[in-house]
Amino acid sequence: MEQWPYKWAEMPDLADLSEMKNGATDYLSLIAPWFYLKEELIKLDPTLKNEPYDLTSMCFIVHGRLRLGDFDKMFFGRNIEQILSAFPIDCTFLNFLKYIRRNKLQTSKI
Amino acid sequence: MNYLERNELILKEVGEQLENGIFRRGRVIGKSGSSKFTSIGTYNSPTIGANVHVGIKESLSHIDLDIRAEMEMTRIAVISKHSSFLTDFLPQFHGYLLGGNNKTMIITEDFLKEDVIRWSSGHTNGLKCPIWLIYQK
Repeated sequence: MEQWPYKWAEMPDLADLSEMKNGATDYLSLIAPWFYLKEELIKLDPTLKNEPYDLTSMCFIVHGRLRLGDFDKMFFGRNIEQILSAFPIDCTFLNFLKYIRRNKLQTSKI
Repeated sequence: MNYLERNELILKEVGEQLENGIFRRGRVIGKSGSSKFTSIGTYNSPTIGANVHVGIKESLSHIDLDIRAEMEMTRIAVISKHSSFLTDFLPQFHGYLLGGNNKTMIITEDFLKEDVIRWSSGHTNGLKCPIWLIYQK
């Protein structure tokens, strides 16, 4: 196997992974997008490289979808303004808040 | 059309379905210490040309989900902008819903009804990586 190319997390012990995730190979495939994302995020915010990070506490992807709760750990508790400042998107912070609130649904039928 | 634009269109459709009374509480899909997720129905979306399975996440404590909904939407926006190779793994839509009791819920895709999506090497957008880091079909 190639040397683990990322320094921001220790490679978890395969025996532990096997027990935790019902198969180390599956776990490696689950980890893949996180490494990509982390690499991309470090390009945008180099301070992330020094953040402590515990891969073993994350579940990454379940049923083909990212676990968004785990992304809170990825962004280390930053608030919305801090996240959008470090990782700018196509609209400003204020416009993004307007977007969210504009799209808030309301019903009394559920 | 980017993720946020598509999300807005789908949320509009979902809002119309809510208004029409199409959705009903169904099976509780999952429960954690602080929240539960309930399936509420499926409709055919003109925006994506496929069925959209809809569910709601509700708080089981006194803590409302409005901040959480906004934070999750922020993460989704950043991921879709900066890591487009992960877009297939994002929920089809994500928003928040104010219920009759003025309690905020998160309304999003009930992804348990979808087949698991796998990457092929063609979905890496040219990123270099060891082969064992690529999802295989």
